[in-house]
Amino acid sequence: MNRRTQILIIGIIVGIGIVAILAGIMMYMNAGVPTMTTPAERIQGSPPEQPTPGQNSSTGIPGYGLSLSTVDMSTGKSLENVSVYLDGGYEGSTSARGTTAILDLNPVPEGQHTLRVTKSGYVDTTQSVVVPSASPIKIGLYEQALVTVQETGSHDAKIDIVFIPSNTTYNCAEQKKIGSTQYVTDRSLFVTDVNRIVSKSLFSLDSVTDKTGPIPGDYRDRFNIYYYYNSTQFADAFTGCAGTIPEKFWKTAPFADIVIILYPTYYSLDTGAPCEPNACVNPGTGRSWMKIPADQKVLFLHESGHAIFGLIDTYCGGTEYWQNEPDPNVWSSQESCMQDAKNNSWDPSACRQILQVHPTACTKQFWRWDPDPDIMHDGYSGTFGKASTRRITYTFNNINAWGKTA
Amino acid sequence: MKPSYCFTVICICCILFSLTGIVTADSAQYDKYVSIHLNIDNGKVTTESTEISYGSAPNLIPTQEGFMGELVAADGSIVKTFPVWDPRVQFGDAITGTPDDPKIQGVVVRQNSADFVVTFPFIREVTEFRLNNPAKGTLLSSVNLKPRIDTFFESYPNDPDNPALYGSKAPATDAPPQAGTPDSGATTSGQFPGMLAMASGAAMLLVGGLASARFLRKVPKDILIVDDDRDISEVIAGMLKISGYGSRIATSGEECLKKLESAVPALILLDIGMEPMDGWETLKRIKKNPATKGIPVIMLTARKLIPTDVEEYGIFIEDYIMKPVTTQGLNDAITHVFSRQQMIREKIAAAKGAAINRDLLCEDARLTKVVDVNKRLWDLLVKTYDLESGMMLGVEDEVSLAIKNIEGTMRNQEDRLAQIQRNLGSGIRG
Repeated sequence: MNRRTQILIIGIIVGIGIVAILAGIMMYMNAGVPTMTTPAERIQGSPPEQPTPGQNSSTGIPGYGLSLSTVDMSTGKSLENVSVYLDGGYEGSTSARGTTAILDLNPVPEGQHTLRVTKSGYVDTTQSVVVPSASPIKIGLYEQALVTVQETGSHDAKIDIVFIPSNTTYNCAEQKKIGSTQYVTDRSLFVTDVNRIVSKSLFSLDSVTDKTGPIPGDYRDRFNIYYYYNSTQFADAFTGCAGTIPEKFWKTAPFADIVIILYPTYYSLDTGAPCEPNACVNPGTGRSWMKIPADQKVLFLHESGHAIFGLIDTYCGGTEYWQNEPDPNVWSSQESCMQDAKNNSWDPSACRQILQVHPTACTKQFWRWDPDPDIMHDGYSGTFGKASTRRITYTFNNINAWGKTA
Repeated sequence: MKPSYCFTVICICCILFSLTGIVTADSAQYDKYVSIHLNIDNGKVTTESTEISYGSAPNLIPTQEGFMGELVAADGSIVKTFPVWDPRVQFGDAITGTPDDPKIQGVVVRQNSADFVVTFPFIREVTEFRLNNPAKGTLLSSVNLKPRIDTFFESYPNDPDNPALYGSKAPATDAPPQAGTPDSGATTSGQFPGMLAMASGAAMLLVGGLASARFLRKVPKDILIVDDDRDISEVIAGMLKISGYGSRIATSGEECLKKLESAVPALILLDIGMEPMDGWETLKRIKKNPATKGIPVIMLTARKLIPTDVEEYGIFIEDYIMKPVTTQGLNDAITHVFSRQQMIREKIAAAKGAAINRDLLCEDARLTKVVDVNKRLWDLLVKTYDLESGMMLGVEDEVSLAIKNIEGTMRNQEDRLAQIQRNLGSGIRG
């Protein structure tokens, strides 16, 4: 055996060894919680004299054999790698056995039990079963309406954005909400608009934020992005200021940090009597959403400034103002604005009151620092100044506000 | 089959067995969230429903105006506070003006009443949710979560967050078993294959490491220095060490032959002027012995090379180095010999795969070496006797003639080599 062959063989052995160790670590970490030991009182509660058809190897509890098969309800075909939980405890996942995806559970004690099955991309399904039962139990799973555009990490560690299409829009000239069939009849148009908004607006943040104190270089990877498309359930962008979202959506995507109702376009400009707002935010705790027209990419950034980053409008008008600590872009006094500017080596003289002279006089007891054109001032052009950029960075760096361990 | 191969095969089998578990091993997810459906009407908050569900709660928007939520433990301690937006307020922007000169206009919608949902992650110790209005210092709502928690775990008693599971076994100060963390004392479907894969992987790395140590360790080539002057031998040994070679020393031809009986070196540096057995005689005996005839020999001597030596011994030696020698010169000569040896081996190896005449192949290998050595010796003779400058003494006319003979022989050998290589084809040309 020459040296080259020796090196090759040793390389293969070492390579396989490394792969095996990594795979082993993955498997070990993924093994999850074991079948939980049932409390002593439950064991005592089992009648010892009762015939024991089988015995759970880990708990020693008498029980009956039970198998579970899983199928995709849309195709009727078997569905593998479905996680199975018996009474909330992880049992394992189904695997192919011939043409069936099946999991044999440890002997299950007699009585009623809850089976929960989960698989990424499918709706979680729960089913009650009374043991002894005919086996295998067949459980069907439906595909989720939630589609992943980008998933870079756990929900705790990322900003989870979910787009949902609206089947309404607004005609300002006629002052009325109108039905919109564009997204209803053309899913691909909605997907295209989602992708365009993400790439042209959300993922262009680095080009519209301050370069001297830039946002994190990997900011795009700090988002998980999804869209929800259910051909029978659409959002309504023009019922209420921020629109409404079907209740079922929240069961599918409870983790959504911000839900964005996308509607194709807003017809006509508000030149006379007040129309419905083009964009609106409901910054709830748990259910937070906003609406936005798909054709207004700078307005999208402005509204994202509110809904995602907690930025405040810097124009003077009928909107909400407060000093949005920490790292505000609006201050409730000139002194606090100037002090903050000094602390950050910004020019304190740039602190100015939020006011407007023309076309109507307006004055607010709040101060701003970011120079114009400021996206939070204009909504249709400009950039995020140093103060807004600092706030955006703060948000990116404090996503896991519940402090959950990843 | 060697034991190490058997061990490797067993390890690979274990790994393959374990890896089949990768597709089936899944991660257990026990994340749960609490959603409380509330209604606020003219400042009064009522609880519509409370749910605990499997899934992840959303993160918090950093700051919000409005109310303050509190998650409270059974002992009354506050586990977490967080802002809750006043659900009666929504705000937005309307674009006004003309298409050429758009303006932005703020819109705030305030309502007297609103339904809203507060969602937060399920945390074991939390048994109560409170909603406060910090501006007025009033408690808007208090929701006891305990009944819903109990109901939930009635349906999911095996969930590791079930207080009946972790509460009944561990003292309060002990950390309860954490969801998603394998318990050391229990069995799982994914843990054992995982450990098996890791163990097998570690074993494979061990095998790889041992094999590397055994086969890939760069063992310095052993060179036997044969010189009756021990001081010179030790100087040369030092030079060889610098160049990365190991060495042994023999102070006579006899000692050289004796040492060759115990171990065969990669190369011999052989002095000529020794007594009673000189270098040439030693060389003859080395080449006569089938066990040692393949060892390359470089003559290392202070003696001037003469044509008759070349004619008589040229075929047996690899090179001829004149003392004194530098480390670089010595290293170059040795490297050249080993490189040529390697090239010939590779040619032979390449020819093994093809249907090549074995005799031709042997002749090619022999001539490749002879031609190369003769060229070097011829160069040395030319330099030694300064033939190129034409300053030959009379006594050296014979030398000149002999060198010319060598030259003729060499040319014939080169022609023959070229012819052989043409016959062998390009497959074995280095």
